[in-house]
Amino acid sequence: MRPTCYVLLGLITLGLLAAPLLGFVNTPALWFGLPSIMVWMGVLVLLITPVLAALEFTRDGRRSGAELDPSTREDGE
Amino acid sequence: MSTVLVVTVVGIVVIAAVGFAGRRGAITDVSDWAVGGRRFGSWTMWFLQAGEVFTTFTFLGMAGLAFAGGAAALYALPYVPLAYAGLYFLGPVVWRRARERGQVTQADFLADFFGSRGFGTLVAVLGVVFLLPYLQLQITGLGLAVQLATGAKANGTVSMVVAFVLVVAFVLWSGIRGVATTSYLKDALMLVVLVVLLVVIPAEVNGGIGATFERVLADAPRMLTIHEGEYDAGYFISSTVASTLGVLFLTLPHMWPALLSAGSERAVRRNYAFLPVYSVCLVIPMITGFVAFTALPPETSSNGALLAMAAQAFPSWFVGIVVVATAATAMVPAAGLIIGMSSLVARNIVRTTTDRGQTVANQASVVGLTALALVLAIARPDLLANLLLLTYSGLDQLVPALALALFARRWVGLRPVLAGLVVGEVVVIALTFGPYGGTVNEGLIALVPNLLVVGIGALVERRTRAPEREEVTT
Repeated sequence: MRPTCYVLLGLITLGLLAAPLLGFVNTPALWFGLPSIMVWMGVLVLLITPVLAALEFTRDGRRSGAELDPSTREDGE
Repeated sequence: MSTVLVVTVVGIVVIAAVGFAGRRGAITDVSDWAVGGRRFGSWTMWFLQAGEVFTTFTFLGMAGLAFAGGAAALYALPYVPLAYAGLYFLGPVVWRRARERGQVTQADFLADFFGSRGFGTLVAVLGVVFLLPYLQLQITGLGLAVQLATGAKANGTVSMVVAFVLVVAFVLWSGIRGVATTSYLKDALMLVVLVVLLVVIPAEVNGGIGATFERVLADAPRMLTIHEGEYDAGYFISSTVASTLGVLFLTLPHMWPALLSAGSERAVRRNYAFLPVYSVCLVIPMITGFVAFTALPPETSSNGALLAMAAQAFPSWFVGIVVVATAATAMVPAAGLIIGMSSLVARNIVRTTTDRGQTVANQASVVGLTALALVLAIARPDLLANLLLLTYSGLDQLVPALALALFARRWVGLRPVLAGLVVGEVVVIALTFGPYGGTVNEGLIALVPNLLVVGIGALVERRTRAPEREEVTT
């Protein structure tokens, strides 16, 4: 699961940086009524959170590191 | 007094009142004031850091960029989410070290790692010098919004003074907790306004979002692409990489208090995991900019495009609400900037030895720096414009130092890092004010000689004496 997440993060980064160079993306066309490059970048940006969430929720509890005593925190998580 | 101005003034006062209400008990020292006792959870962190993403640039600038340059405005979309994806891994490293060693500022972190208070002072001076024009930009943005919405320059000036006197007051009173509480209000207000703008303006002007883009496709298809010219693919990619590196390695000093205020590593990680979703909201003012492109004459001031569209589509009281949201996107990030800058002055530049002295230096710098930015915004708004061109590229030159400081061991000593920083800054200044006419980001170009100098310096250092592999963390 975790290696897949790292690969996905790499592909998302590549897809965002290369957007102006991709002929099918950087073209005067509309996808779902919006500019194709806007949809491409918007979708890739939206994918970052689920991938990071997958990393976070499959995290080994022992590697969580320093955590403050919850009773001293000012708000919830 | 017009309805827009009344709503605006009331809104500014309410934002400040919420900032005052943010205080929780006595604030004991600068550390407590700047990083809130390092006790904030994911929610507070979310709003604090979202506050840094959505500035006046988001509201007025993004719409203006899309109005003037079309899809080129999209360069602003990916760099923050990409950097946050990296900070999901690096943020906890910085947070843990800073907590263990009682660091409050970026300069504390570097001075401690490289074992040089002088280097900390240099980094702090660079931070303050480069952030001052950014603070002025927030003030000018607020004044411009009021001026454009009410049609009178005097209203803009009065609003700038009222808003920033109140910002100084609540920042002194509440510290970062005041920034956190105003961030809640700011983001709620901004999201409501953005959604209303997205639904109403395209429908009023063109019959919907789809119809707007059909019209752009028919009349000016190049606006839907990144094409040759000032904002070409080279500009887009290099600006994205340079900005991503800048945010990823925390080169902007005002990012530090928000990060270090976290109550746990988990709060840091979860915040960076969920913030990228929020960045997609940047698309909304961009769409408004495209609508403005189809509806407004080309000579319209690009920064005024969003407010001009709002004035066409809404009654004056709601235009006032839009201006209040814009004011909030100036006041809240400005409050964060002021905390970041004054902490640098108090801890790394003045370097007093007592808590009392540090508090006095801090309070004096809050008032002094804001007053300086406010006076310049009113009297000489263009004076710092050139310096603003250097802000991001100049701070990007701290990337090698900050990247090396993330390691537990000091693989490269201070001298190569310092030499690289100096070379990088000189190249940035030469490219920005010299004859360079390319579109590749100046900060990214300057990073190449900066890194080369650091690399060569490190090799020389190893040949001449044993490397300083001092263990920094415990």
